[in-house]
Amino acid sequence: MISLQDIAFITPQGEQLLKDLSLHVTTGECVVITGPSGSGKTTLGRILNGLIPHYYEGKLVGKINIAGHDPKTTPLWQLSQHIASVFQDPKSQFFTSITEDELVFEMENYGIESKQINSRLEHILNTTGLQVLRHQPLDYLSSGQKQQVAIAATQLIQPELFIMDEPSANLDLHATAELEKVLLQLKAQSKTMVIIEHRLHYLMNIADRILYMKNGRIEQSFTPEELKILPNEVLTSLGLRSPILEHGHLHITEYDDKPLFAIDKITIQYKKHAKPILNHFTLTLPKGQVTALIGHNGAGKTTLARNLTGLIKERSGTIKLNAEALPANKRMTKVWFVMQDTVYQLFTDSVWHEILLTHPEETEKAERILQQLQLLHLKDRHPATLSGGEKQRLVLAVGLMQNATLFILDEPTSGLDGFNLTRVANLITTLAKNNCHVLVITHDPELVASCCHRIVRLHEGQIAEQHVLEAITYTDIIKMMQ
Amino acid sequence: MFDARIQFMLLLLCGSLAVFVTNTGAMALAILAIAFVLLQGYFRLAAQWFIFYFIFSALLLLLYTVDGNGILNAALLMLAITSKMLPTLIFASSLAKVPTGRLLSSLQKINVPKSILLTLAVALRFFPVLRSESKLIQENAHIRGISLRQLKNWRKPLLLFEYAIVPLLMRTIRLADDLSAAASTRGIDAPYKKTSHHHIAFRTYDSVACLFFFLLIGTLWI
Amino acid sequence: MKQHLQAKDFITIGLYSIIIFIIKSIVNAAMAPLSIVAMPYITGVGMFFSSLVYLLMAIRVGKQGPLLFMGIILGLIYTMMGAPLMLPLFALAGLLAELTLIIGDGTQYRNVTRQAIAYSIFGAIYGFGGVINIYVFGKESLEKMQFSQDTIERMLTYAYSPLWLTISICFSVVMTLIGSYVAKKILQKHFVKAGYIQYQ
Repeated sequence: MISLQDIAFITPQGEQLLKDLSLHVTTGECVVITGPSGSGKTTLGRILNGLIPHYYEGKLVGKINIAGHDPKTTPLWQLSQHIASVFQDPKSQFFTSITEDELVFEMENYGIESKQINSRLEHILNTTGLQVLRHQPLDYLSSGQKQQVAIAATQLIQPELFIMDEPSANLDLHATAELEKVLLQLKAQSKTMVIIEHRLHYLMNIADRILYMKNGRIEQSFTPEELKILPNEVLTSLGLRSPILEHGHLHITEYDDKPLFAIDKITIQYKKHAKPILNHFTLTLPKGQVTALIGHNGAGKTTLARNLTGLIKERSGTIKLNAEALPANKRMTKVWFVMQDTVYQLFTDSVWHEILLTHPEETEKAERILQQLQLLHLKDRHPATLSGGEKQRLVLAVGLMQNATLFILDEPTSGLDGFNLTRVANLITTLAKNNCHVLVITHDPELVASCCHRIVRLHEGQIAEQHVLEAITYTDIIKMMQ
Repeated sequence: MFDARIQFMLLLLCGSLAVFVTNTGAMALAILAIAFVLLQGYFRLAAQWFIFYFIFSALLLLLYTVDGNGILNAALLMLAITSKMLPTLIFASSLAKVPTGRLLSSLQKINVPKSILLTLAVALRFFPVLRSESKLIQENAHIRGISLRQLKNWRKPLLLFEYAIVPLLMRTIRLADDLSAAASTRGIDAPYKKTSHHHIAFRTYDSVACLFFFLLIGTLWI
Repeated sequence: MKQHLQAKDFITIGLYSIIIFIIKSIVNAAMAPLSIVAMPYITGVGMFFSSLVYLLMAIRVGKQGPLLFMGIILGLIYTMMGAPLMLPLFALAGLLAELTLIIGDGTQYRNVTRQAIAYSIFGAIYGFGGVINIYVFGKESLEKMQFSQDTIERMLTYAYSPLWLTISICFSVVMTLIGSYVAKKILQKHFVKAGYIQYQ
């Protein structure tokens, strides 16, 4: 099905992203490609689905045959009739407004006859359980449902090959399990799959081979069994996440117990809604501690975060910092929210200007903070040119400049490899040690285990359970997150 | 719901006729428009327009009879202009009820070029997305003290503008890239004639809508 | 580099047109209630703020056609909002603006000055829109007021006289050019620095 021989790819800027790469995939095989960030996985994925050379420019050398076609000479639309592409973020893939329209989009582009379209549509709606969501606007679906629609949409043109780039990146454990089921179905239909992923645990029953990439080359190949028995130190040195979900260790660190923020009986209810989103919610956030906030979509995590930063006013209840009540408008500088996508939070043309935006005179403090977060050498760079992790640290730096004492991080490890997961965990621990509290909204159990002290599960606006990590096991965490 | 193609044509016709009709003719157009909405079963919408137009016309009539000073006549001007534009607005509100996907398929049937439909599809689909994202950016700007709401920032209006718009443009660049890449892998450049899962065809019901063509043109003689 | 507009370009045009539409709507909403005499200046102010967005779009695309398509899309949006007369007008605006960009070897599409001039032509014709509505639909009333003694009524007729129309157009053109000058600085500061655009 796929045959790549001695491939190399150089960007127009002269960077060599792939070298001496050869890959052969037989029909019906499922190959997983993993490796640290920057290893060339995405570039390889783009060669496999034709985006390189048709969409992304650069020099591509080597012999390539995918599903019987040579991407260099076959137009992309023709390749796409045999190759399905699934990306990380369905939000920027969706072309239409409703589920039904999105599912048939590709078929319509190929001029498939109306009757055929409708019969295939009905078939997929029934086999995937999407029938109920048929007329739903796509913006109202959860991340898991969106990814479900995206994958279902690719199946309708009946391709032989599926290329997926981190399909589970935005999904929680439950949705990831659903994704696993879908992939198993595809495998049963003898579809060929190439999946680029950091999270390996849900692919162990599906993958035939796992290829490890580093520095633009495929360095090693494992079978799922081989990967599962790799000792932890090897996994860490390769920068990989654990291939077995239940295997993980808790990393308990010390903390102070002095209360910092006291959230007391907060109720938030929008005028048009019958039920409050948060009802008499009470939680204490001690100094120097890291709390993991988990829960399904719609449980109220984002609402709580927005309320804590003062963007949404509470109907009743109080929030106190060091025993002093803080109304919504005063909370804004004390509580700092780092969003999953930092593009909404960066405004200036250089790291230095960004950190000095609100306090232009405090240059010494700024330098110190940038040094602490390893950003000083990037001082004059435009924020848009930074990597995802660097942008994250920059937004954190701004928060530190504001003397914020409560940091809320939204999915900080989504789509990150093992190395960066550790980096973020260390960053969070350092933050907490600065006499702050860090509240982490996450669906990543490895993050919870490596730096959090407490785990709180939110369900329908109330705390369903909360535990101190010392008192539970890693398996308990997994159970809580499913 | 009448066929979207007919609705679109009627909308264009009404807009053009509004230029030539007299004030009474405009009133007739409005009544026809409300009837058009009503005939499709949009009772609430028709009722709302009816009440609005009733109050509006009453006000207009009042101002006509009261031969007042400049301000009143200026208001009269504004109302007179609006009264000519209202019928088209009413037709537009009916067209707005057609789901986007169906609307685009209908336009395709009347041979609107693929390129325009593509651009329009993107514009319609992402209008709410970009609007809510710019709100999000303003919220973050507010937290940083550089938002439009904070009056002290208006002392440096250009900088304020820069902070408000640059993040949105950065986001749009990435959105355009992601969307185009994804669309390319879904055959958007395929040279085939695009088909549709919507069944776009005239039904007997639509002949009622066709009647409106003649009725609308008839208002020229009022 | 392919010379015709591709799917990627249409998507870009669609997205940026919405942003331009939003900016112009905000300016409209902010300025219209001020006074009827402020009306001639609304287009100009809208053009000032939207030049940055237009220039970014034009330079990203770098080919013939964005103005025409933007005009058609904006016209269609206005049509669906109930003002179908804007469609031919804006399409014409786009077409005439594109004509100013025909002369050249291809690099003019990434030239800020040429694009600024093109956008100002677009704005000049676009500005007719508001006036057309008022003049065409209010003809009778305006004519009656012409002979009135009342100051307000005379102000109104002045506001819609050919003199003021000319002033409005000149204002739009000037504001677009000034806006583009300011925009070029912002483009340099952010978008060139971040590597998103290059001039040729």
